[in-house]
Amino acid sequence: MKIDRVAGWLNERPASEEANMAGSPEQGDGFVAISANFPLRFRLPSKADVTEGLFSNLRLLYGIGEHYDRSLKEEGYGSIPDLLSHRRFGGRAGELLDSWGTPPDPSAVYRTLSAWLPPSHRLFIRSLGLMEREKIVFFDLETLGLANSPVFLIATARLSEGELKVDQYLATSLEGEAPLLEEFIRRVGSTSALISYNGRSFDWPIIRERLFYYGIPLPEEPIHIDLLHHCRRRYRDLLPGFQLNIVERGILGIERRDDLPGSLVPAYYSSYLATGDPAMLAPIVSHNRQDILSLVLLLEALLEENDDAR
Amino acid sequence: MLADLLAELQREAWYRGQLTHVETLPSAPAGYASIQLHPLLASYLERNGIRLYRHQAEAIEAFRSGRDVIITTPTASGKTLAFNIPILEALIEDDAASAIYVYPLKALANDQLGKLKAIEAGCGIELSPHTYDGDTPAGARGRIKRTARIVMTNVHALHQYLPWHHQWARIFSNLNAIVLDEAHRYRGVFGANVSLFLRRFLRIVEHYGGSPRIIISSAGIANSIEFAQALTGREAVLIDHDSSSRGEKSFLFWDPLKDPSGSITSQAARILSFLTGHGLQTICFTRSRFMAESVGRAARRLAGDGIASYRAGYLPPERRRLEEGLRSRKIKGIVSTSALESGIDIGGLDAAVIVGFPGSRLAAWQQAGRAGRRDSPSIVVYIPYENPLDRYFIRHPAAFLSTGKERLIIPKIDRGQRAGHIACAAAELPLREAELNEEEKEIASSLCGEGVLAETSRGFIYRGLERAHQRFALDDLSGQTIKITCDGTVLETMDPLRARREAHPGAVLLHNGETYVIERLDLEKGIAEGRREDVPYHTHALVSSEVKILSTSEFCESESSLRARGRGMVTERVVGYKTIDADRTISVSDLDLPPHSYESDVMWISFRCGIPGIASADLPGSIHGAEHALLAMAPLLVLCDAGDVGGVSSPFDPKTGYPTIVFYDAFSGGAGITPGLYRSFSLLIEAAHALVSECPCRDGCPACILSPRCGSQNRPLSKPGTILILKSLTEEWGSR
Repeated sequence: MKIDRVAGWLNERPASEEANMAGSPEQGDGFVAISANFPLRFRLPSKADVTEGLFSNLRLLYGIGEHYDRSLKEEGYGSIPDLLSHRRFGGRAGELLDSWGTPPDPSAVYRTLSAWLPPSHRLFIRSLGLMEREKIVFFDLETLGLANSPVFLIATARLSEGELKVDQYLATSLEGEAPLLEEFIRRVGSTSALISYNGRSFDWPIIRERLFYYGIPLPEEPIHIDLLHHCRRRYRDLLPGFQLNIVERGILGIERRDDLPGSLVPAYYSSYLATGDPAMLAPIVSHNRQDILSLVLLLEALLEENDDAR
Repeated sequence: MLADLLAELQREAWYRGQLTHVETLPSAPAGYASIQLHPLLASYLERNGIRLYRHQAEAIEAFRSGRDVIITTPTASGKTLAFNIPILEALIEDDAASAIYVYPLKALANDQLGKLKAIEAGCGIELSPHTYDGDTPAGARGRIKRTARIVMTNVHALHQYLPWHHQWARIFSNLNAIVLDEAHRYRGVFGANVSLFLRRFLRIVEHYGGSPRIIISSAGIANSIEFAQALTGREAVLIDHDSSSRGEKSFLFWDPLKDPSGSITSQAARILSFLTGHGLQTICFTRSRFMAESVGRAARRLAGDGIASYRAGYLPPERRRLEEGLRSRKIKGIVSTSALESGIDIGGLDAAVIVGFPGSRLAAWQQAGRAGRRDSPSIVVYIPYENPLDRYFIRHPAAFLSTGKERLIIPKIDRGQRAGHIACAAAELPLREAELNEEEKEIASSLCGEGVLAETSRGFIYRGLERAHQRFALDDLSGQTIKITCDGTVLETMDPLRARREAHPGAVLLHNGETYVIERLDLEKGIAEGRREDVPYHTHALVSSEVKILSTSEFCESESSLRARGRGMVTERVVGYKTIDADRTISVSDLDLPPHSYESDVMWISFRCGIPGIASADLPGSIHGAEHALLAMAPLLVLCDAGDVGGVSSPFDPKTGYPTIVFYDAFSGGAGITPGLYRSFSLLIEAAHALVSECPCRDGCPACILSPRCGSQNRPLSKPGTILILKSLTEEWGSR
C-alpha cells in the first residue's frame, strides 16, 4: 500500500538534494539553508468535505454540550446551518457562520476549534484542507541540550504542487542562532499553520525562549497542530510509547538505517563546534531531515485514517 | 520587683549559687515622629493606634527620596512596618508598580504574607500580595505572575526563575522596590553568592526597564554601610538608631556547673518553671530539638500543661494555635529551637532563657529580643554549655552584652563559584563584554574553552548541555554539591568539603533542630543518605589537616614572634569522628574518606625564638593548646560557626622555619574569616589568654583547650605551656 511506497522513498536520497548540498547552499548570516525537493502527491481534504465536517459538529456553538448535541440531533437538527431556524441557537449559529465566512476562513475556524475542542480532535487536522497548501509548514528543531540551550538547526517542510520542499537552516557556528531564528519566524509568518511532533510542549516554547533571550520581538503564535496529541488519541492501544521512532515503526512501517540517534545529536554538534569538522554535520542533517519527512507521512496517515473513520 | 524575684530564686531549695552575674539595661522612652502619609495609610495607622517611631519615619523619607535603605534596628523595633509603609505608598500612587520581597528561607515569606494582607485589607487597597516559590501550585503560578503586585519569595527560588524572566516581564518592568529581609543571613560564602545573584537579578530587571530601590532589613550589623555596598553593589542610607520604646531588661548569668548534681536540662527546666510560676510568660531557646523536647518534658513535670514546644516544620494551623495560645496567655512557657529566633510573629514575652550560646551574638540578641513587650521590664537568662566560648561568657558577661552587632563579611569567593554565576548570567541574556571586568572576561573566555559558553557578536551565550541554573545551585555555584537526603527528599545541599565533615557515615546532622543519622556518603555521586532519628548525642568529625603557606599579603613582627596573613593550600583529611553525649565522649570511630585540598585565606603566628619557661619537649603540646584556645575564641571576634575556621600547629613549619600555628578558612577559596581575625588579633589573643588562665582545671578540660574536633585527639597538650605562650603573645600583641 501507499505507506510502503513512502517508506522506501524516505530512505532514498532525493535527486535534487545532491546538487544543493554540493553546490552552493544559500548562505545566511552565520547559517546555511539546505534545500531538497521530494516528489509527493499529498491529498488534503477538500474544502467541501471539511466544511461539511465542521457544520455537522454542533458543539462548536456556545452552549451546546453533550446533552443538547444529542437532543438537537434527535429533533432533526443535523448541522449548524440547520440550527439557523432554531429558536434558541439560531442567532448564535448565524453569528458563527458569519465569522467563518464562505468558504470558511481557516484562522476563524481554528479560533472556534481551540475554544471548544481538545487539541487532539480530528477536526484540527482535517481543517488543514481549508488552508492554501503552501501555508502549511512542518517544522522540527535540534538544540544543544534541553531548556535554555541554543537552537542550531530548524527544518521546515512545505507542501507544493506535486512535491515537498524541505529547507533546513543550519547554524555554522553559534553566531548563527539568532539570524536563523529570525529567518524561521520570517518564513513562517503569522498566517501559516505549523505542524510539529511534540512541538507545543518542546519546539515552540524553545523558539519563544530563544527569541526572548535575544530580545527579538515575538510573532503572534500561528495555528499550531501537534501530531503527538493526535497519535496519542488515534493509536492509544496500538503502540507501547509515542516517541517518534516508535510511531514511525509501528504506524508508518519505517525502519531507519544508519540513523544517528537523537540523543547523540547535541554531542555531534558540540564536536563540530570544537573541531570545525563538517563531517559531524552530515549525520545530524540527515537525522533531522528524516524527522521532518516522517512528520509529513504521519499527517498523511492520520488524514487517511480519518477518511477510513468516516 | 527584680530584686524580689531574685531573692525568691535564691531561696529555692535547688539553688546552689548558680547566679553569677546580673546586669540591667535601662529602659528608654519612645521617640515618635509625625510624617505626612497617604490618607489611606494614615487612617489605617490611626485606626489601629499605631504611631510611627522616628527611625520608621526616617526610613520612609529615605525611601521616598529614591535611595536604597538599610535598616538594622533591633528585633521588635518595627522594621517591617518601616519598609511596608513607603512601599505600599508607592504602589498606591502608581497602580502598575510592583515589589518583590526576598527572604533567605521559604518559611519566612509565608509569615510576612499575613502581615501584608492585614494592611492591604485594613487600607482597602488591592495589591494581591502572594508568595511564589517551590510550594506554589502549578495552577496558581500564571495568575500570580499576571496579577500580584507584591511577590514574596526566597533567593534559591528566584535564582531558578531568572532564566524564565519573560514570564515576569510585567513585574520586573514595573519593579519599584526589592526588599531583602533577614539580610544578616547573607554573609560569608553564601552572602557572596547572593551578592552575585543580586547583580544578575538587577541586570534582568534593568533589561525590562525596571529601576527598583532596595531595602535591606537586618539584625544589628557593625559594618552596615559596607555590608550593603558589598551585598548589592550600591550605596544605601543607614537607619540604625532605635527610637522604639524599650523596657528595662535584665540579663541573668547562670553557671550550671555550680550544681554538679543537676544537668543543664534539669536546671533549664527549673528556671523555666520558676519564671512561669511567677507569672512571667517565658520562651526557652535550645540548640537542638532533642534538647527542646527534654527541657519541655522536664518543665511540664514541674509546671504542668502550660508549657508548649515548638520546632521548625510546624504546619500553619499548629502554628496559629500556638500563636493564639501565647496571645491568650494559655501558654505560659514555650521551648523552642532557634526556629523561633526571628521572622515568626509571636510578639513579646516577659522572659527568655537561652540554653547554650547560639553561635553568634547576633543570634543571641535576637533570642534575647523575644523578651520584652512595649515598656514593661523583661528578663533574659543565659545558661552556658560546657565549651570554651559558652564558659567564657559566664566569666566575661561584658563580652556577651557588649553589643549584638557583628561585622558581616562578604568575601570574594573562589573562581569556580564566580564562573557559575557568569554561566548563569549568560544563560539569562547574552552577556556582553562591556558588562564584565577584566577578571570576569578571562573567566568567560576559559568557560568558552570548556564548552560552557560561546562567544558571539551578541555577547557570550550559554551552550552547556544541562540547564545552567540546575547545574549551578545557589548554595554551591562551583557545580559540585552533595545532596543530603532522607527517604528520598533532599534536606539540604553541601559542598563536598562540608559534607566530609558533617555528613560522613555515622554523623549526627542537625537540620532545622531535628537530628538525622547519616548512613551513607557517596562523594562521587554527590549524595548522602540519612535517617530521621532522635538521638541524645552529637558527633564531631576528627579533622587532620596540613597547610602549605603560598603567599603573604600582610605581616607584623615583634621581638620574638611574627603574625601574618595570606593564602595557603589546605589539605584536610577526616580521619574519624567522636560521639559525644552531654559533653562526654562516648566513642571514637575511624573513617576512611579521601583527602581534599583547596586554596584558602590563612593567618599564622610564628615563634622566632624559644618561649621562656617552655622546655623543647613541651613545645608541641604548648602551641597545640594555644591553637585550640585561639580557635575556640574566634566566634567572639568574627561571625563564624565553630568549625568554619581550622588550625594546624607544628614545631617546625617549612615555609617560616619556626614553630608556627596556622589558621585557615575552612571554605574552598576562603571566606574572609582569618583576615577578620588578623584585624582583631590583640582581642583574640587576650580572650584566649583569659579563657585558659581563668579556667580552674589543672591539665586542660572541654571548657578550655580540649577540642572535640581535634584530629590528633588532643594529644599532645600542655596547659601550663599554653598559658605561657598566650601570656607572652598578650604581652607583645595585646591592646593594653
